[in-house]
Amino acid sequence: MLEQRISRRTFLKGSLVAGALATFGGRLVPLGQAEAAEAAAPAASQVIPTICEMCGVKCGILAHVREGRVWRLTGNPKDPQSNGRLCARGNAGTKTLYDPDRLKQPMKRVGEGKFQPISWEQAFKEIGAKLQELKGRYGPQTLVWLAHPELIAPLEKHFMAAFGSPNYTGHGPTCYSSRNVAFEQMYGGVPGVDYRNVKYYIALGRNLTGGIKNPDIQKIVAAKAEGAHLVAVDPRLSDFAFFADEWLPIRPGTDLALVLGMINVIINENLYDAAFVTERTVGFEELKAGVATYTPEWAAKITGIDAATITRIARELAAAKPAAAIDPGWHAVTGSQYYNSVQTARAVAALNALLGNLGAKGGLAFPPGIKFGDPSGIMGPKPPAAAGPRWDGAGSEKWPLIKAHGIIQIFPERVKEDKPYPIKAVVIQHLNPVRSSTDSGAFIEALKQLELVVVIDIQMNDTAYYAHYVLPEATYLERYDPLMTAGNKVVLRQPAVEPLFDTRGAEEIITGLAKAAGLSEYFNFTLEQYNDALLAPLGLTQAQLARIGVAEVEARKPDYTKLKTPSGKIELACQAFVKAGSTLTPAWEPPLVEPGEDEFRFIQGHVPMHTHTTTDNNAYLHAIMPENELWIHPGRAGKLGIKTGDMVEVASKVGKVKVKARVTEGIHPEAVFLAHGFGCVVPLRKLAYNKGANDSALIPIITAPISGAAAQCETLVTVRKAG
Amino acid sequence: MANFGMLVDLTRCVGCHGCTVACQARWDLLPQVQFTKVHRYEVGTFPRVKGGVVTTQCMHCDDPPCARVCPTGATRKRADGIVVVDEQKCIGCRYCQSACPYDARSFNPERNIVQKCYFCYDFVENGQKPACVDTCMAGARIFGDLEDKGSELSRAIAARKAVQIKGTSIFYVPPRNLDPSFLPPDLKESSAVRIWQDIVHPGGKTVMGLAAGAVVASLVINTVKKERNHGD
Repeated sequence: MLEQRISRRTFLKGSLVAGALATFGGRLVPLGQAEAAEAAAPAASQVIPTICEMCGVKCGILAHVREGRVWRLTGNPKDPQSNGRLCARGNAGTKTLYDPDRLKQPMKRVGEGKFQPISWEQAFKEIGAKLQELKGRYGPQTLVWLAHPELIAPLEKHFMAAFGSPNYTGHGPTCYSSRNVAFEQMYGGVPGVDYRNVKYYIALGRNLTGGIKNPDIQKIVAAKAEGAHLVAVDPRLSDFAFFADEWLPIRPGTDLALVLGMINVIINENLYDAAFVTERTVGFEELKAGVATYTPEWAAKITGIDAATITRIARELAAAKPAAAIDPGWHAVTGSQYYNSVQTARAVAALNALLGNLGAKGGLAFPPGIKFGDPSGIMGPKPPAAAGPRWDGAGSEKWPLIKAHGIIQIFPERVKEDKPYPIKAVVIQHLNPVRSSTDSGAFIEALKQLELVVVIDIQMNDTAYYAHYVLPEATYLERYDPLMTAGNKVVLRQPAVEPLFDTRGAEEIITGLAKAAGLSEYFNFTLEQYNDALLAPLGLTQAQLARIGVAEVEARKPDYTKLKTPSGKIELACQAFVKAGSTLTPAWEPPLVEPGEDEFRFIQGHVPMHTHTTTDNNAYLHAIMPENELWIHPGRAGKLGIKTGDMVEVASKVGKVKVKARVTEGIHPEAVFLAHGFGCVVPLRKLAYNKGANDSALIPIITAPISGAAAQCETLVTVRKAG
Repeated sequence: MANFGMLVDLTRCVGCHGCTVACQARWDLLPQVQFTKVHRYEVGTFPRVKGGVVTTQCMHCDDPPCARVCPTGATRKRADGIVVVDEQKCIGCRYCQSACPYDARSFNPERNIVQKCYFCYDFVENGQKPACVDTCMAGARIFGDLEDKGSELSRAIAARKAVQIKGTSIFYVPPRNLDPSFLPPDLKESSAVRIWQDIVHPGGKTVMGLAAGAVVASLVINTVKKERNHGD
């Protein structure tokens, strides 16, 4: 038996050296041996509590490490988000960590698609010198920082503040901007849905089981099992339409009319929570007058959903109040899909208010607040005042409500304009705007015009491919990060293994850039010191949190009687929108474009097994869904001679892609759908390269009023069978 | 003795593939080898269309055809009902793949063996649940002892009016709109397997050369399976 143990362990070691661990689970029977192998391993086995990064939700996970290798990831049962469970992406994390196509060392561009490995010292030195040179020539505002804001965001912003540039810009306009603008102005913040206790739930394009948030899935499934009624409003049979009790295939871009019609019914039939409306809202009479003409019959003509159905769901929703909600949403119709998205989000906010559901069980809720310490004491002197207005005009007189969100999609136009000042340098962190913003071709052209493009990422994404310098970040299983909070819990991301390659945590990279750019005095602290400063009032340290992974701390419950709005109440009539150039109460605005007879409206969205453009090269997830397909209605497909599996060419005014067709009854005849996250053009990413089509290549640069969102589904395309 | 089985509640399943990948990671499978799969179906015409999800995996049959045809005894049904493959004994002849009525077995070309869902028997022996059950966000999977009437599994089967796929260890709670033809069929006595047994395995002993047996058995089984499918 002893011999067997030794040989088993030796085998494992040998496999690791060869870089091809066959399978620990390869040993099946006889069981005696298998148990012996397990029993022999504990000294080398570890379970590290940390945080997933296969999407942005940041579920608490356990990394199971054996012989120095993460062999498995599971949900951390102590984490309130994962509750011990994970989605496909979370489970597939080892394939991202051990992806052979990962970035392995800093790289410098030496030609089209050609990169040369360089040392960190050289990278920092050259980038730092260039940043200082450009700052001297054009001022600090010439630097823009683009990011999908993650846990590291406070340190990215600190870098920009120290540099003197106001131009930190997130991905919001290609995701949730319109929702945020509406709820920030009307509610003083963006609430979520109490999915666990909701009894009647309507999603407008919010694909709850497609754009997966693990905690939301667990809760909505439990609510459904207890009888909650779920309604999916979507032009296509989305993942959530599969799961929901009913699917209402609305005409794309007209959800606003549906919600206005429902408000009309609820007010006219006195189905609203009158006490809540009186005590906790302002502007009800204005709202009532504003929706007077939006009858269900009016809405039916616009949406294609019959008036009886609109009336029925309005009544059913109201009957279930306050455990009833219409989802504020994320990226869909209340986020960044349509020109009227901010009006839709405002109507959604108003409808929820009529249900009196804010703070109620099964309604909308704000997260509790955790009182962290102030780390500014260790972060150097007070940063200089930022130079000039923001590059994108966010926060200016023209765009007063979106200072926090920016307008990332106009980057290519702004780079060309050089006004009011030139943009010459960009740092892009954890974001792939070439495939996640709009008009990929224009974005690539913009990158080519810049004097300095630096990308910080774990993989050579389509944007990094055009960078002058690519700085490889350690993956989430190899690094620390600033703290995460979930409810009344504080959670730490910490390494499960040492970095496999010459990669670094983002905080080290940012510090390296700062020191090379002459900003040393702002970055004389470690990430651990930063986290300790945050944790100080809670009586915790990073080292203590590292051992337990998740700590329960004191959290303040939100005060729903004093909202962060001018009136302290929900503003059904909202002057801020009037000042910004819009209507006092939610009002109908048609979508920007109407497809002609030979055209389709192009719609896009998420799938459950991939996250944005970050998982297409993950071997497990790639095997489940290697490419996307163009969903097209059988009637329209028949006229074009298109069958499932045919290659088709999809063309918009800014781009063309080729992709396989999927003829399905599950889509509105007016629209075609393409899942986001495919069509990688970087040959280095061998699995993802040239698989499926890139939706962003087709979407023109459009900016919706008030929210500055990208209005991605205001895209018209033609489809033809590819030769 | 326990008799292990699994219930998949398709009214809860969201079709996320978490089960597929948790299993793959836990067994370190090749990406193309998936022990548990998620299938989607759509019925109806626009705008009245319904969609649903069905998961499939090894059914851990009561009298598994795969075990009956295995020439080396690598595949066997344990006393606790779990059908296992001794990967050391498997010679990669793939008869079992042909014999399996549920297409639940996968060939691993790198190791020249056939693999399938093992109900995570090693976890189960340690009192843990199979990886697919443990990870399921929707709580759609329940694993347990069918003999124990008080087990979570037995109680759920009774309370949720679960459908047993006859002759197997797998139960489903079908969604309201599910056409039963989307569920795996009940296990039927396969004439193909019988023929194979008569030719190759009289009395449980291999009488033909393994390679020759493989060719004959595969041909016989596939032919009979095809005919049966046409008959359906």
